[in-house]
Amino acid sequence: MTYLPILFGYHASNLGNSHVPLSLCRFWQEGGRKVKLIVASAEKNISYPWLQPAMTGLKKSLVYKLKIKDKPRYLAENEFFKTEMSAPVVYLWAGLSVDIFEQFHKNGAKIVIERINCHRATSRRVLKNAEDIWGVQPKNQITDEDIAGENRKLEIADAIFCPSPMVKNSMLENGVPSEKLLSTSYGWEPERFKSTSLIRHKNLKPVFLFVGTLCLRKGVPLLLEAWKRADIDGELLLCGAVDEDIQSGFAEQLKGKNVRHITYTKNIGKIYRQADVFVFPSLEEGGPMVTYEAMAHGIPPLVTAMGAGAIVENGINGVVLPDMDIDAWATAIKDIAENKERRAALGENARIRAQEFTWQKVAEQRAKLLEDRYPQLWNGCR
Amino acid sequence: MNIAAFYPIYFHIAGIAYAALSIIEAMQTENTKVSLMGITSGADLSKSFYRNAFPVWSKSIAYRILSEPQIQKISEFLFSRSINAPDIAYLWPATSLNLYQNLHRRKHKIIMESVNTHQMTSKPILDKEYARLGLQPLHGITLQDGVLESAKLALADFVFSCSPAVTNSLIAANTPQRKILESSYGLRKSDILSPDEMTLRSDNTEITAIFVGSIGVRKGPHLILDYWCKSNIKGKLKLVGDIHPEIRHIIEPYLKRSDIEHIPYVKDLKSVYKEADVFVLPSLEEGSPLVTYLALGAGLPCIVSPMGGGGVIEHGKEGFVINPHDEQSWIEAIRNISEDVSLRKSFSKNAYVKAVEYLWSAVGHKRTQLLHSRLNEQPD
Repeated sequence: MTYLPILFGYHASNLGNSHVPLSLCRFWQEGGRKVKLIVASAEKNISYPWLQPAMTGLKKSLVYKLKIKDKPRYLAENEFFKTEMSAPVVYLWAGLSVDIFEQFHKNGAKIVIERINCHRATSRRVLKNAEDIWGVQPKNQITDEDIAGENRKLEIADAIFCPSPMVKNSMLENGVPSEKLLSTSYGWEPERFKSTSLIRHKNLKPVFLFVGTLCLRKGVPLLLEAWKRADIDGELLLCGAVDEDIQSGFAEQLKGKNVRHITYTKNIGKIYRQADVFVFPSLEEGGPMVTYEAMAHGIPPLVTAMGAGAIVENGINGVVLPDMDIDAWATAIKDIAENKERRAALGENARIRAQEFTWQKVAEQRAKLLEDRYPQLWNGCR
Repeated sequence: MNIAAFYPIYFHIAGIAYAALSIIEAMQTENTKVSLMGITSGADLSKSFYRNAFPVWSKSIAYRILSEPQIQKISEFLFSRSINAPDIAYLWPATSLNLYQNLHRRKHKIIMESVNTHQMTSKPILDKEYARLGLQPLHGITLQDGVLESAKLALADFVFSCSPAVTNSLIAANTPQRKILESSYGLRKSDILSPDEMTLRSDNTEITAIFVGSIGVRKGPHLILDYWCKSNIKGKLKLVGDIHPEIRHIIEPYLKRSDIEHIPYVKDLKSVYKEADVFVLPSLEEGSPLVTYLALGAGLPCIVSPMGGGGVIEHGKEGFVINPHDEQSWIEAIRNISEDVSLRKSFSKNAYVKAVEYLWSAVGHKRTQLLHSRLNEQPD
């Protein structure tokens, strides 16, 4: 086959999730491995010969204005099936309908899936537990149908990219055969973060940075409580939109001592430069890109196993802590606040470790996994 | 920037060869390419930056028909032919003065690696200790060696020093400070125990002490054996390494004791560290011993001589740094470590935390940075 067809059913902004397929495709293409990426739509400034949005111009604005649920994804799926129906291997992103999987399955295609989160049955268990502990009202609950749909996709998929060991564990826990699982990681883009080579701010008091949506899933209640208990002379800087569950239940703590909140900014490199420690106590995560980015800036991370992704090595380039142990977090925060040398050593190791996870390297690692599995793939063009 | 390193030894993944491989691997950056040539190697050594002067297939023939000096000469010739005009030569020990002169003539910048103290420093130290023990000075260092080392230093533009002791010895041998690049050695990630493994050590006062390295006069095993017996504590002292013939008659009587154990060779050194409670090394002379970095990685409190501490153990922080002949202090330190569990724990924690500063990746990285900044300072 001459190229690998890839489907991403959402708007491609190169921020958030769409950054992953765009980065992989870019480096595969640059390395002579041809791809075609179909997306629902794309930002005006993102244009590549191999990128094909299902909607452009008037159609795009109309669909988004009418806010018809799932319509963009549906259009992308249609476009993808229409043009790629006879492809022997397709690479399907998370969040697509079961139908598109069934269609390709019927045509005999080998389906590769990208997982951006743990198995939903695992997520549901983890979140339910956290909701009980923190007394938070459940929202957007994962239904039995969601799980059944996911299981069906996993059943007919031939290979599943797991971007972290925790995602892989969750697949195994839910009975997915290990032969299907491809261990990989997320990455970061040096071009996007020129800030990694700039000197970081010299803060008088250590700044602990959290980046991401402030929600229960990302462990914000634990972080706020641990911060309070640690009671150190430093600052907790929270960067991201605030979810309802946190807004209603934890408003007081958000205004707590030495806590500062800013909304998400596009120039996140500037924020990383202000930090001394990265804190990310997430309860469930696919591949926490922010951890990779923080480490690329030489910031030592305090994370949970979920927040560690495939990059943090406990005690070597960061600290991995239990996800429900407030005291362990408070102690770790205190420890690292008091020990500047340790921060510097872990941070330097983090920076070095991150060099192994640039998207260029991750794309190469993933390409090798695909080539081992599908020797006919990219044969025509390399 | 291209750096061509040369270390005329047989390469395998252990000891100082492994240190060289680790450092050079970690010195690579986007714009600094470092290659390494050795004489030959085991078949399992495959690193993209490493090549053999004698390919693996040819080594048995080469060693059969050529003498060692011939092998060295041919290796040096091949290295010298492979190095191009602006490349920097990075020469490890055992490189001949001839090669230094040749490269210097061809206007290559030369970096030297000092793995031990200057021989003008080490020779008298060892002479004295051998004499103290009533032994012939069988350490193999001659005055001529010291003179040769100084001649090489004179031709080198820079010298990497792996410890403060080495730096001092270089200065004592009239090496200008501007030539000296101060660095360290290090350890691998896999040498560091996991935080879970760290919690397994007991709070017992009955301790296991380990001495790791070749058991010859230089590392002072005779001293630690004496101090251990005199400290009269409960526990075990394990000596891990080969006993040199020169000192066998002094060591052997101690081995009859039930609280002293000799382990000539061990495949899994990490387990030895994991099961120990304290690391001891009363060396009279060292560069920066790799076994000391392993002690950090295993979170072991250290009782070491200044040379044994290799510049990485701080007195009162990761353990005690004591003059190798200060008998009373050694005995007290051993007793202290055995009796004071909380002190032991605090040393252990500090050691463990310090280990991550010395990962090879970080050490190599810093070396490249240091070299770049010094080259920029230097007028052409």
